[in-house]
Amino acid sequence: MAILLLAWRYIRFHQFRTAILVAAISLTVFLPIATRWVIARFESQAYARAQNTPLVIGAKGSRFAIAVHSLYFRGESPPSIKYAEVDRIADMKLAKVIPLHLRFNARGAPIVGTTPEYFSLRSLTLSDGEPLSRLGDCVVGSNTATRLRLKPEDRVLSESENMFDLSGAAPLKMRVRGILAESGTADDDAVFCDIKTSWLMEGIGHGHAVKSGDNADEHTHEASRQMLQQHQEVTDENVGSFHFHGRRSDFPITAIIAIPDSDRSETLMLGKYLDPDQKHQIIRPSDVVTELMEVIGRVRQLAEFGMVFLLVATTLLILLVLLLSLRLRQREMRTLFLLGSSRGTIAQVVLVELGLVVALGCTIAFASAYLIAQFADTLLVRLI
Amino acid sequence: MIHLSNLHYAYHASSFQLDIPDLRLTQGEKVAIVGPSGSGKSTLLALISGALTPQSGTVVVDGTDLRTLGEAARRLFRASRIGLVFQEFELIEYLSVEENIRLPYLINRRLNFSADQRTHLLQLVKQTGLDGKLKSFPNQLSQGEKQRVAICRALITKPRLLLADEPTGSLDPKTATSIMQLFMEQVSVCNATLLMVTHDHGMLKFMDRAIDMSEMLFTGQTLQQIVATGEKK
Repeated sequence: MAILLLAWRYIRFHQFRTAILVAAISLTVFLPIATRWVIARFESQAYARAQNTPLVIGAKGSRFAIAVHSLYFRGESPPSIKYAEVDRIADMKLAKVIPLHLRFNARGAPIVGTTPEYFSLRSLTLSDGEPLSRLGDCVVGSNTATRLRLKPEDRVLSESENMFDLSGAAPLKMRVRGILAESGTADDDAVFCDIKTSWLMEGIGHGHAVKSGDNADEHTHEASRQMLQQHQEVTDENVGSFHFHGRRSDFPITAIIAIPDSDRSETLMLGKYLDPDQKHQIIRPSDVVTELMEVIGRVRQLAEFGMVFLLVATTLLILLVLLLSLRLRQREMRTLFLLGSSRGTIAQVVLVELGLVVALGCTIAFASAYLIAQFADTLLVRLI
Repeated sequence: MIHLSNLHYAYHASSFQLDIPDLRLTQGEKVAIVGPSGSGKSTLLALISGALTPQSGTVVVDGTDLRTLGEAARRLFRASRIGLVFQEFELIEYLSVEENIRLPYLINRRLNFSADQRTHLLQLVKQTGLDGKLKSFPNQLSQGEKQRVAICRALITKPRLLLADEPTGSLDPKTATSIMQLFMEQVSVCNATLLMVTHDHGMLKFMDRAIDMSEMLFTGQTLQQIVATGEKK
């Protein structure tokens, strides 16, 4: 106990020196540990989400872009495909299909246009409010709700695709119907609406003002009027007047999640997209995540190689500080010896001091790495 | 109390040699050691404390021949029977006044700091005017206060022998005199034997006798003669 007391008193008295050593050790330990933990956690979460998303169909192009887009709602939107592809896959009767349409944001949160099946696929539940009930409704992920301070019955405005495009559709003011319970996934950061609501944002659909008299001048085109207000809003009064022009099969979506009935169905579906003339591609997100993790693994190896040098440099620094400190403390050690302390006890005090500093540094490093790892999913996805 | 006979000590890396044919100190005696630098005063203290081991001869302290003790036993003997006071106080900067006084107990597992020792510590602190400074650190104390802490540390184990190496060497004359008076009072209370190295002939008035380590080594010259010699110089 006395040895511990002496060691503790020493490192407490020399706070500045101790802080520098602790910081050096913390950083040296933190970097490799945090890298490993963040990647490991991301890997497990990415695989879990990918395995929950058996197949994704999208336009031909980057496989990574479609996977990241449909799993994490991030990155540039891939080229749109027609809704007809949803009907075509449904007609195959091999898989359940969930369309995704992601081209708009609401104050930085991606707006995901989809169908109610998406919520079942991801086991998403509401922590507050009601599910989507009509056109113009949205439900908000927990992180976004907290960040934007949204609650049921609030309104959230979609961001115009291009604010300088005067011919583009006006932003849509959506009614927040419910808040999703935290899932620890990318869904927490999104705003979900019905796919038809997302088409309103595209300008494919619009509403008309309710006729209130015989005066033809009152038959104002709702969309035109709302354009002047610089946003459109679906209300209980005008919801009946909203309609879409054109054929639904031509309406855009950005990806389709397909959940095959069986392994055989999955194989058959994969086969359907083998034709090189196909305008669409099908990907297995788990394969893409595997490839992604291989790339991340190689980067990690490189980083760890660099960290070995950091570890050696820090160890040498600590040794230098220890040796200099021992030289400076020769009189103190001689006094302890003359007062009856053994050299072993003096060595123990020095070792316990070093141990305390290392333990403190490692504790800070491990605690920080643990905290960082909790946000691994968000952190790495933002880097992708 | 102390009996040195046929003592011979030489440092490996120097030509210095110390030879003491015979030296005796009785219990409660206060003896000064004077002499120029390099005459072996501090070496003599180190030999008596057991920190150095002579090449030949015997060192008997309080009836114990130090040669018969192993290193661990010698350390324990030094910690429990001998109090040490240094010129530069040698307080541990990161320990409080109380912890500095308790230091012999903190660094020796075989010494137990009991309630009696606690009472003794509080008495010492009160007698030396350090009450109210127990939680202070050495860098918050004056030179005189530091030496008082060092004296308390030397006395905390109720030693039979006190070895002081120029205890007033770092103090101004006024503080040196008051510290010396305090020190002598405490030595008398403990009835301890005191062997003190000093360059300050003014301190000799507190001592029973003095030993000059140079010209008059162990010639039996009286304290008055040494004082007179110092005054002439």
